[in-house]
This record gives sequence, structure tokens and C-alpha cells, in this order.
Amino acid sequence: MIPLLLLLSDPAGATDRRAEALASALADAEAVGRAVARVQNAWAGVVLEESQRRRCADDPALADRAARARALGADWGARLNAVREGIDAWAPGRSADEVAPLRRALDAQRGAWAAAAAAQARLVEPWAEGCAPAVLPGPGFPPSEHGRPVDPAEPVAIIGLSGLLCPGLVPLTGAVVVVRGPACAAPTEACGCTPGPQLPGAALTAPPGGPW
Amino acid sequence: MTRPAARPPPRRFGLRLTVLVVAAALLAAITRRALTPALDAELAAFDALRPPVEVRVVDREGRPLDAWSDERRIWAPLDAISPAVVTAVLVAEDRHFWRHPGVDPLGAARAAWVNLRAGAYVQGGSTLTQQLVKLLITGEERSLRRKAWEALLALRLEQRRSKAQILELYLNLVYLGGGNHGVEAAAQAWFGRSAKELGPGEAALLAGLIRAPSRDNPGESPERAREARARVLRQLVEAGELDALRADRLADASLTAPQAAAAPPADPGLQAARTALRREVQALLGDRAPAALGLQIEAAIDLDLQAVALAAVDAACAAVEARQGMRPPDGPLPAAARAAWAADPDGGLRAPQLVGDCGPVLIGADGAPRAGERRGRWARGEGGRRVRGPRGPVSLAEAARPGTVWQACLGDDGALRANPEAWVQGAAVVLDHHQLDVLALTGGRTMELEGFHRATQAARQPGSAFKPLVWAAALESGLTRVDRVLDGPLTIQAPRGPRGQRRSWSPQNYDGSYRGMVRLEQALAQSLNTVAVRLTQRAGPEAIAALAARAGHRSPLRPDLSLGLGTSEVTVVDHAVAIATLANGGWRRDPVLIRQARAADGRTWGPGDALSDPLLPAPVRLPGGPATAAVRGEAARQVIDMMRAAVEAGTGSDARSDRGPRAAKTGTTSGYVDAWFAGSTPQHTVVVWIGADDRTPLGDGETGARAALPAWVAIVDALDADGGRFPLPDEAVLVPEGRGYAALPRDRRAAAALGRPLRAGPLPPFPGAGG
Repeated sequence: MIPLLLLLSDPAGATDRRAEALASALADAEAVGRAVARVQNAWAGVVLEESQRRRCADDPALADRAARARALGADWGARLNAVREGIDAWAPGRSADEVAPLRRALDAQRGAWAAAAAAQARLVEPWAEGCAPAVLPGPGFPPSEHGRPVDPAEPVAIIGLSGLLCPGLVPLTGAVVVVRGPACAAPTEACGCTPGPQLPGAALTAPPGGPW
Repeated sequence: MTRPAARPPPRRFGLRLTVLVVAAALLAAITRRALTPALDAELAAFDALRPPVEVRVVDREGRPLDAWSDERRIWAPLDAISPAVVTAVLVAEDRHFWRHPGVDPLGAARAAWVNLRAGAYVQGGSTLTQQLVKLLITGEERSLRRKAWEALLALRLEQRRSKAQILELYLNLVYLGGGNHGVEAAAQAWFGRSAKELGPGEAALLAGLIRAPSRDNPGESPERAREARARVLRQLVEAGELDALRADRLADASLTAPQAAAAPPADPGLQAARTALRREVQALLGDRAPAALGLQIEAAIDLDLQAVALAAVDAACAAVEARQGMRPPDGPLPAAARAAWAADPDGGLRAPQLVGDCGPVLIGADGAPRAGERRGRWARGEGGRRVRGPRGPVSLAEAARPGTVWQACLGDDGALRANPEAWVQGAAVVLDHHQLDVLALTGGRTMELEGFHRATQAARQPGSAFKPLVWAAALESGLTRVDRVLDGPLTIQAPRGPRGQRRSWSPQNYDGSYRGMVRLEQALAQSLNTVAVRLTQRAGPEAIAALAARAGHRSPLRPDLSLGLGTSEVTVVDHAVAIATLANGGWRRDPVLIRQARAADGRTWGPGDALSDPLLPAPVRLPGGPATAAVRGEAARQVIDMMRAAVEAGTGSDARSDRGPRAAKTGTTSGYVDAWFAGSTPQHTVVVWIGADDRTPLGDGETGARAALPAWVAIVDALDADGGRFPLPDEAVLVPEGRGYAALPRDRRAAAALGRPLRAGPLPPFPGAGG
């Protein structure tokens, strides 16, 4: 993906609050896209590379990955659509130098989304046909390369199944949430859970579902 | 009446005494005040004391691999030394150690008396503290002034250090013969045990060695060692530390033969790993610091795998020699030498005379070998042995023409056996992706310690084994695995020569044929040279050289179009790192030879850790640590998929296995000079090179697949059947393609996989997620 900071090195664009908000929304969308890639790759690594193909109905853990990919992919597309509308509304009257970096970043993500959607349509969905996969509480997915450094400040997309996100007390209702830094899900506003680092694609639920 | 002489009142005597004492105390205080800075300045040697300790290296399973030092010393804290050793040393050298302030006048007087009575030097008068001062500061000079200074230093040292610290220092510094410094090294050398396990008999021997370690040690003179032990045992009895009966029994006991239990194996096959480790340690820390830090190193090397790699490379080299013939050890004897030999058959050639002797023999006019005056015969069967001739391998009988000289050994049957030279060399590197540990590293079939290392020093053309990096650069430039490129005739116009002549170059495929438009995957699997050059043109030689450098190549690469065919020389280890980078999703790590380094004071460092110490001018970072992005993830993954195709159905198909995915590439340089096989499993990368040191061609048909692949397979088969999967980087998105999936870059091209173009409007619903 194209680093947003590089695209937004223009000082005029960087000082514009709306441009900043759009860039931030794109960074969040990128985090969701990263989670889609991790979840799809985790699914593919098992389903496509093993000689004995597993069936969706017999493997809830794999079906969970397919379901997470659906939820994250849908959220990613919605975020990209919102950013596109935002740019369209903001761009009139702006110079091409201000708008072009945002559009380039958006187009790169739209291309990536299309590839992920293609993978979902051609591989994941046929596999999941007829078994109604469901998202289960569970941790996210680390990078598959050895030694790849993880930036703790990088936004991470998770699926919030139930409870409240701590810190922030954001209600978790089955939607995708982008978190920055340690987080956990608690049943009440007292936040009786210990925030921990999250990996892309995690599915959080408040206890008794499990403190992830 | 005379007045009696006035007697001084007792009060005045007391006054004088008081004045004397005060004056003495004052003088002592002044002297002390005046001398203390000078004493402390000399004793600073103790503060900075870092006695060199033997640097020891074990493999990843803790098995001894190497050890080196100027002084063989293994540091042992006081609580790791048997009390029997402490007692024996104190009884023999300094009985009042715990009571005196650094010097022991009574002890010195008694030693003098004992020596006088014995008529010989039986007992020393210096305390341990004085011996320590002599060892580290004053040296062996015996002048009275020096002895006095030594005593003052000893007194001052005892004020600055505890008795236990002084004792620990002494027991670790004292020389105990055979190159062993300190009781731990000596205990291991003489008894094969640790100093904490020694009993009174062994302790008495160690203590007895202190006086004359070079002369009395068991390796030099067992009889003198027994005498030294008996002397200390008697002293222990006198001191009440041992009963006489037991002392007699111990004195009669036989000496344990000197041990080398913990010594690293002498296997010459380990020299490559040892050499690489020593050079890395020296490059990082210099010559002095490793021993001064007392480093104990856990290497990444696996001795079992090292043996497998060495045997595999040796077998591959021997197989080439069996196919192509051994190398005649000498050419025909020059005419002048032949004439000289005819005049004096023994003069010019040291022919083998005794059974087992090897040396040159001259082939006579009748075809029979002659060794000096001896007219020999070839051993049965030797005539059928093949050697390299000018036009290929020929039998020995055919090659051994009259007048040629051969290396031969005299057998016990009186026959001569030709002893042609082994001439094919090889090297292999095995890396573990988890931390990029170097599990095995061979530097040749035979290698001297600190000698020429063919894995790290030999610069060789990689040929087609370099192509994965060319393909990676092409993918980074926007191509994908399924794009098509023309495999057809190609002529490159090179710059005009020095005299203005036109020059051109037409790369050919190995089989001389062309296939038309081919997918990148097929082109790599079949190692098509014309496609490699076209991809080099597209990506740019500079971009390829830059990518290769990011991936791990440290040798300068010539950025011209021939780079795509692997004409720039590289080392085996660098190429292994570069291939491992591709196998790790484009993330490069530095190869790790040192898994852990532990100093004598307990500090430990791992890969990527910064080692700082006053001994070093600046902190030193051990190789390893986090990976750096070197190749774009989707490019790396696609190249690995293409290398898998090369194993499944390409030039590397003999490496195919059902034990897990394998991705590899052959390499053969022009004229069959170098043969390579470079590839990975999900957990390991193995690179094998086969060639001759002097770049003699290996022989027709000796491709990477034929000469190097068998060794690669033998090594990979010996690795744990780890299965696993190659990484799918975040940047790569799978799309249905061919036999499974392909990782395609996230650009508009991927949208076509959806079956519809990506328009500028809103994105459609994500599949499976509903409206």
C-alpha cells in the first residue's frame, strides 16, 4: 500500500483539517484492508495449500475466518465509499496538487479491495456455500513473515462482538472497529478488563465470552 | 654528702614512650598518607583486571564446537570451587590467610626456618595476597626494595578487597601447568571434572602444582606430580585437615590421566563453521575483548546438520569426479627433468619406497610406473580408473602415457595405486527462517582452520540461480506471475569497442530453442535466458542490483544486461540470504551465527542486542534482530510460487517431494564452470554450489540440476519435515489463478479478477456480506 504520509507531504494539504480527516479515514480503511488480507491469507493457507481440503461445515474455526473476511471486507468497502464521497465533496475549488495524493491513495485501496473481493467471490464464498459461517470470538492474525516488525501505534481493525470497548467505552455490536493501542472488551462501563495489544482481524467479546 | 644521682621518675619514662608511640603513629600516618596514592595507582590494575578467559563455543544443542584463547582459563566463582581445593591451596601456600593483614611475618619466618632445616626450598614465605600482587604488578624481580613495595601493596590490597575476593582472584589466576590458568581449567584438563567436584587427593595435586607448574604437572612428569601431591597431603595432615591413613591412601592412588573431555571435537568438517564464527567474533569485538569478557557463545550451528551438509557436498563433488574423471596430478615430465631423471632416477623424484608412501612416479616406455629404481606395476583395476583428459574423461591406462608423472601410493602388495587429485569443490549454507540462524555452513570438502572459506569468501557467478531476483524486480516493476513475455531471438547492441568496432550479444537458451510468448512462471521454471534479459531490460539492471543488495547480496553487482543471467559474482552465503528474503515474504534478516553470547560476569546478549563494555570503543550490535523490508511482499510471494513451479515441473524437478512445498532454482554458468541449486522450504533455505577453485569447467552436462541438486535434496531431506506454508504477506491478495491461487499486486489489474472493471463510482457489496 502507498504510505499516506508520503502522499500527504504537501504542507498545504497537511494543514487542511478536512484533508487530515480524510487522510485519517483512509488510514483506518487501510487498517481494515490489512485485516482482510490477514484473515483471507490465514484461510487460504489452510484451505488451499493442504492436500486434504477441509469442509466449511466440519471446521467452525475455518468458517469463522471466512465470516470475518466477509464482515471486514464489507466494512472496508463502506469506508472507501465514504472517503470517496468525502473527497468528491471537498475537492471542488481545491488545487489538483491537494486532491491528487488523496485520490491516489484511495484508488490504490480500491484496487486492493477489488482483488480481495475477487478472492472472496471466487474462493471463499464457494467454499462456504450452504454452511452459514459465523464470527467466533478469537485473537487476530500476526504477520506471516518472520521478524516483520509491528508498529504498536499502527491502527488495528477488529470485530467487536459484544460489550464495551475499553478504553473509549465504544459499544461493540458486531461491527468493525479500528483501535489504536491496547484494547479489550468489558461488560460494563467499569472496564473490568485489561487492555492488551490487538492483532488485525481479532473478534472481541465481553466476558463470559472470553477476554481477548 | 653527695646527693645520689637523680633517677628519672617513672613518669618521664612513660612520657618518652608516649612521645615515641605518637611520633611513630604520626610517621606511619604521614607515610601512609604519602604512599597511599602511589599504592592505589598501582593497584588500579586490579580494578581494571579482566583476565582473559577461554572463549568457548557450543552448537545450538550445547555440544562443544570450538574454543580458543591465549591462556586457557575458565572463570569459577569461589562458591563453585570445592572446599577441598581451597583448603589444600591455603595449607600449601598461606596457612594464616584468613588472619593476616596481607603480609605474614611469622609465616615468613617459619618458612625460612623450615627451608633452612630442610636445606632446600620447601615452603614459601609470601602470602597469597603477595603472590597475587607479584603476579599482576611487581613481577619476578627479587630486590629488597621490590619485596618491600610488594608487601605494602599487599597490605593496601587487603584494605580494598575482601579476603574472599582475593582468594577467588588467586584461584582463577594461578598457573597450573599445561597452559591451564586457574583451578577450573586445570581441574578439567587434569581430571576431566569441574573444580567443584574435586576431592582432597585431586585438590592436593592442584595445590602441589603451584610451586612448579610447568615441571610438576601430570602431563609433563607423572612422578613429579605424585611427589607434589604427596607433599601437600603431608601438609594437610600436619595442619589437621586430613587423617594420616587417608592421606597415605590418597598418596598411593594412581594419577588420573590428563583429560580432554570438554574439548571440542577435532573433526576437520567443523573447520568451516569454526572459521566463520571466529571471524565474526573478531570482526565484531576485535582480538582482545572476547577473551577478556570471557565469552561463552552458543552458535546457531547444528552439528548434526553440519555433518549432513558436509557429507552431501562431498558426495556431490565425488559424483562429478566419478563422471568426469579425477584430475591428473601432474603434467608430462618436462624433457630436461626426464633427462635428469634418467641420469639419476632417485635424484629428482622422491618416489614412494615404503608401504603407504605416496609420491610421484614416472611412466616408463612400457607404460609401467617407475618409482625410483623400482619398476612398479599398477594395482589391479587402477588402469580402469578414469581421469580427465583434454577431450573428456579417459581411463588411467590411456592417460598414463610414457614420460608422464603421476602421484601414486605404494600398496602392501607392492603395487602402485594412482592417487589423482580431488579437484571438485563445493559449499553449502543452511538457514532457518525463524531467526535466520545459520544451521550449517560448509566451506569446502576439506578446509583448514582460518583457511579459504568457499561459502563466505569465494566469489562465483550464480548463473540462473540469480534469476529469482530478476523476476522479483520485474514483478516490482508492475508485471505479474501470469503476464507473458516473448521468448525469442534477441540481439543486444553493446557499446562500440575501444577501436570503434561494433559489438553485439545474442543470449541463447540452454537448449537453443525458443517458445514464443510464455508466462513469467514458465520462463522461470524453464530458466529461459532470453526472457531473463528482456526482464532485465524492463526492470533495469540498476533496479535489479539494488533489489539484490536489499535482499542480501553484499558483493558489488555489475548493472548491465548480463546481470539478468547471473554474471556478477556473489558468495554462497549472500545468495542464501537473498533467497531466504524471498521465502520470507520479502523481509530480509541478517544471518545469525551467534544465538547467544554470555560474559563471565553473567551478562548475556542475543541477536540484535547491543553489546557495550569499557573494553569496546563503541557498542557493538550482534547480527540479527527485526527484519527490514527488502522486496515487495506480493513480488516475493509470486517468485516463490514460480520457484515452486520450477521444482514441480521445471529444471529442478528432481527435488520434488511430497513432504512439503519446495521452491528452488538451478544455476549453471557458461561452460559448466559453476553449478548451483538454491531454494527454500517454508522453514529453511539451502544453497549449494559446486565448482573448481581454479574455475576449471566441471564437464559437459554438469548443470546445477545434475551436480548440485543431489546435495540440496540430501540436506533438505535431513531437515525436520516441517511442512508449513510460505508466508502470504499482507500486501498480497490471493486471486484464483491456474493451479490454486496467485498473489497479485493490489492494482487495477486485480479488479479484472472480479469479472468486471472497477468503475469510479461506489464499490459494490463485498461478496458474501449481503446488500
